[in-house]
Amino acid sequence: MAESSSKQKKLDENTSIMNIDRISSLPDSVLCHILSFLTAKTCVATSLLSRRWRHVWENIQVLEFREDFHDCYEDDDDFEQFKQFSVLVNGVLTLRRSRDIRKFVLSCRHTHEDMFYANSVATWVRVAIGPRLEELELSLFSSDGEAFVMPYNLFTCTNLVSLSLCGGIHVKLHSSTKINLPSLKILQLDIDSVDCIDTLLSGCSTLESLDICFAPKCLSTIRMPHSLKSLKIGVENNDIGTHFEIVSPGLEYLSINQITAFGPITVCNFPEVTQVFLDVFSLEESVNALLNLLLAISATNTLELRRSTTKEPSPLQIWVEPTSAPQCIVSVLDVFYIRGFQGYGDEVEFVAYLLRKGLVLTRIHVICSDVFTDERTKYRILKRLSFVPRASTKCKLIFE
Amino acid sequence: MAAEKSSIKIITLIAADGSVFEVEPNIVKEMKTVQSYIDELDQNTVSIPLPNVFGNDLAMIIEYCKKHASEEETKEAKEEFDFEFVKRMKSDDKLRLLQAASYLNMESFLQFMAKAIAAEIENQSVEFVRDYFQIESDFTPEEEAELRKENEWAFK
Repeated sequence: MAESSSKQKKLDENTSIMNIDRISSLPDSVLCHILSFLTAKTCVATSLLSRRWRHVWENIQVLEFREDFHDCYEDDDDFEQFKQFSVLVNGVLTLRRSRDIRKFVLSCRHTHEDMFYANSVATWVRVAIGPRLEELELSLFSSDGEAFVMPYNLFTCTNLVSLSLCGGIHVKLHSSTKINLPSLKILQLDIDSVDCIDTLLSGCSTLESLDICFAPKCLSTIRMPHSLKSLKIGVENNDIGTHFEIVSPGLEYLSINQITAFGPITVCNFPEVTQVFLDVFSLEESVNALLNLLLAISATNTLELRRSTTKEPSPLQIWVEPTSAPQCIVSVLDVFYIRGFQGYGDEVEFVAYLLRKGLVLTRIHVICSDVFTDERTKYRILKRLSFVPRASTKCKLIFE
Repeated sequence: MAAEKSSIKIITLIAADGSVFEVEPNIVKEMKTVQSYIDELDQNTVSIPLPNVFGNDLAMIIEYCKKHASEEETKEAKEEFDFEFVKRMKSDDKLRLLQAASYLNMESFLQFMAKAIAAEIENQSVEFVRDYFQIESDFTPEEEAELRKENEWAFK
């Protein structure tokens, strides 16, 4: 039987090479690789493909649950939908054979108004947290504004490599909370609230990528891990003036965003950083912070400054030409972008400064803000900048 | 590891259709099946038959390995390459390459193909996936109806 079918296959090979089931003969481990990139719902559905597939999904160690709820408005429908979603999650968690979860992704709604939501989510997260967990991605959409409090034992998952928390989640820490995340390489936090971020970071000794957006709550120094290679940071309302210390000599990528006030900042030299994005236009009285940053990024060839608010003053307004120009501007900077350009004198002067100093510049892109529509002023600025003597003859000025 | 086996300069891979590929040792590092073959031998030139991989597929795999083994390429360039690599493939190519990756025991290339295949079947019906993989169901209609009912919660 087997022989004749293999002969048949050979005969078919020339005529209909496409009609071979190449997959089902592969080992379970390979099939599980495919399943590990699917949501749990699709994984369960593969049990219906054939007998070969019937129980394969039960061995998955990567569980991804995403509630699809964007086009539901009625409260009753909403609840009905969440109920169905929870039957799916509970079904998968109960029927799986492998007790280990390596990766867990959960994206759903959450509310404290109905304990069914709160208890379900809390139980699922507890199931996921364990010594084998390598990746956790949690996005919760809370309708009542009350956040889900992350269980403490997450912060002692020694095998956790990647952690992403987003939405209605509260990371409640005390300065004495034990944090031990020795394997953590990637941390992404965009959540309602986080206390003692410095305590959290101090327990991540090998962190390489940090993407964080938060509002500092206490006056302290936040030290970025020494091991960082990529840092994307957004700070909201740093009215209390939290001090940031970015002393990570291996840093390769730096992005500072959405800052309404960025306090004092300590940086080291970043010899590896080639790309920098700075949204620093709402810095107040912090021209030194900008200059310090420009001095630190000595190897940066692509720099982007963005003005996300129309609020003044900008740090460029009190920009005083330093006695010696930062090295990155003089001899490394290749491309410079200035976004949200509104035609203020300080912006123009800064661009002119770069034109005069940048020996290896090839492009400057000036991208105007939507609110800047005065064509005559634009023309005048362009004319003014075109008269500035350029240090680099190759430098093009692109005005958009 | 490369230093230990520095005596080997060139590795010859012979595909199922007889086509021959000469590659440097660092290119086959990821092919554990090939690597274990090399480790067993102790000679300067190695010729390895790969009866389960066709020349066209092997050429693509080597192209991928070369790109990823290169230290000059940036991470972005490699990602761009991966994107284009998947884009120019038909479904059957992906399935064949997954098969080859499984045979050659290539962890990261296997992951890469598994991901590309998963992207095509995510959220699709059982019928679609059967058709995509060319699977013939060996369930009786009654069995299938019963299974469907049993796992109803996954089909809503």
